[in-house]
Amino acid sequence: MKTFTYAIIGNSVAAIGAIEAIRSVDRTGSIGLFSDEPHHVYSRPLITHYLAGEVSEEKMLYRPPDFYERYGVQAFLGAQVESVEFENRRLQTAGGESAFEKLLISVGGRPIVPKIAGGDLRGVFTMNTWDDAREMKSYLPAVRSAMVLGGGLTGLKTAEALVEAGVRVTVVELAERVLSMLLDRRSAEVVVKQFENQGTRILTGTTISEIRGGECVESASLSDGSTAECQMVVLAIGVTPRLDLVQDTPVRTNRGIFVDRRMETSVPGVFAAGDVAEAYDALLDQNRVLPVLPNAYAGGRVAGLNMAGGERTYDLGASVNSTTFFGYPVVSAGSSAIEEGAEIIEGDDENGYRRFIIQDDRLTGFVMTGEVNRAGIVLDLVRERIPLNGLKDRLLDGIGLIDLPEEIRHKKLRGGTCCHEKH
Amino acid sequence: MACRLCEVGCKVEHSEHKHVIKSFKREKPVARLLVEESGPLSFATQCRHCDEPACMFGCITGAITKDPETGIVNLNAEKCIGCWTCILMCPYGSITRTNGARPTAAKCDMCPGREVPACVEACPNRALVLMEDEEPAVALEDAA
Ligand SMILES: Cc1cc2nc3c(=O)[nH]c(=O)nc-3n(C[C@H](O)[C@H](O)[C@H](O)COP(=O)(O)OP(=O)(O)OC[C@H]3O[C@@H](n4cnc5c(N)ncnc54)[C@H](O)[C@@H]3O)c2cc1C
Ligand code: SF4
Repeated sequence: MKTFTYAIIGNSVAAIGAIEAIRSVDRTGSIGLFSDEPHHVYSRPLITHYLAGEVSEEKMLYRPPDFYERYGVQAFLGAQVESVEFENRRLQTAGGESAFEKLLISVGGRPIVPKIAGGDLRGVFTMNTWDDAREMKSYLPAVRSAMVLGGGLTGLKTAEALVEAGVRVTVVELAERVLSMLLDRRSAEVVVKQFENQGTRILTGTTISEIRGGECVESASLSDGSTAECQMVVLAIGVTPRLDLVQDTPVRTNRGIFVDRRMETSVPGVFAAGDVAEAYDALLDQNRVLPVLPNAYAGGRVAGLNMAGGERTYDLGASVNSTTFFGYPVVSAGSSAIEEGAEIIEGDDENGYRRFIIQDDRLTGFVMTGEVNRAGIVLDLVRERIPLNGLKDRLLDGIGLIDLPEEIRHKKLRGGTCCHEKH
Repeated sequence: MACRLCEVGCKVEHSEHKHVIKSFKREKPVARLLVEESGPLSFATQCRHCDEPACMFGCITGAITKDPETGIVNLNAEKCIGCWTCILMCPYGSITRTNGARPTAAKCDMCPGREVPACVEACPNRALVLMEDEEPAVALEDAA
């Protein structure tokens, strides 16, 4: 039986963050990487772009084809880990057993599949993996119109891709607005407008009650009583951390796998990062499941450094999102979705919509659409809890380094590392 | 003194024509550094080629890499899909967007193939200098 200094379950962003971190300090310790997906590491957010036909197979890769070789990683692709014995430090796949000294669990999330009559018909999909996108793509010739259930990021990005592939799309969202975790009502309207400009309908406050058809999807009925013809239904109501490997084990879970500031679980030597982890949110000062890519990389990196014997704490965790809809940029961070209980400054002009949320003279979140250049300086005001003082009046015009308090500006102009990475 | 010749030098260097008139007339090049100005205070800001680049951590496609030998943080425009996550992650505001039908992110690349970056060469005041001690970066001689 092979023993790895480092074993990693899941071959995605958090895993890569960990591998790159481990190798920055330990060139020789053996790394075993286990993945149930058969592919070389790819970018999950690109799957909708792949569906739209915008991104080639080659450009799907998150790291170059020789990555595992260059980083000395033994990759077991298509090898699902079936169980882990945390006391004995062993893991089992269909191919056999391996032992490990340190373990990273970065298995991500799985789509939540609602129980809907007709949900097993051909033409019903979820959108979480490259293979999902491939299957959907090969089904497209049979599709004139599609219904997407869920107005979150995955649902809307899938809807956008389908529109770009020439399909007529209706998005159905149960909440009163789309992207309700990220955006307030006004900014959500800005997003809806981008879809309406493309002739895409977004229905809120309703859901799919039944999917109908013989063998394949032919129509869907909504809870408001209406029925629409469609050949495809995409279920995108959310993802949930994949906790099966740690169920009934000493690894503490809550909504996700609970980790401390070092990304270590309740079992010493066992770490977790990425969409599966309930890790520290530095803006809210509490642990949360925050399933976005920058957190997966940064958390994986901190886990990797600590697995290799370092002492690092995770302080980049935050609700951060940036994407485009039909080319129109939408950026949000922190407490961006809240509607009340704070001072709100908003502006709407040819440069786009902006909204800043202020509590106790500190910026706690914001939304920027359209012109988003230098949004990172604004995010840093949130991260560093910089008192706004006179800055408040300048927020709508766009903040530069020159507007920052002198001491902070000096640090930034001289700094050679990202300033919030404290050493 | 905010003459912005560094911005001009950068735009020309990162254009197809590499010629000040042709580049400005036929292309819409963007500068990868920015002169900020407010009253008597002005300075140029650009990528610090961070030790731990937040832009690279956040890049959703793998377009941003840090060269282990030179320390330069590079952005591969071919791989970039223009999601602007890197713009949100960079605390220096040092990543910008190109113009055109398929805009991509753009940042300081330390002018590969040049001994001295175009911005430094263009600065009549010798206020911009090349720093090579820790991380490679163009820096202000006397940060305002
Ligand atoms: C369509 C879509 C669009 C997105 N767009 C964005 C975006 O624009 N910006 C952004 O920040 N984030 C976006 N995300 C979220 C982003 O993709 C995730 O946050 C990120 O991929 C999380 O990385 P991770 O390392 O946690 O693992 P994941 O990417 O979730 O991958 C985990 C891997 O582990 C494997 N695995 C699970 N169980 C086992 C097992 N027992 N044995 C072996 N392997 C196992 C899984 O099959 C999977 O391959 C998007 C997600 C989707 C689906
Ligand atoms: S805009 Fe391009 S370089 Fe920046 S994060 Fe997105 S894909 Fe990466």
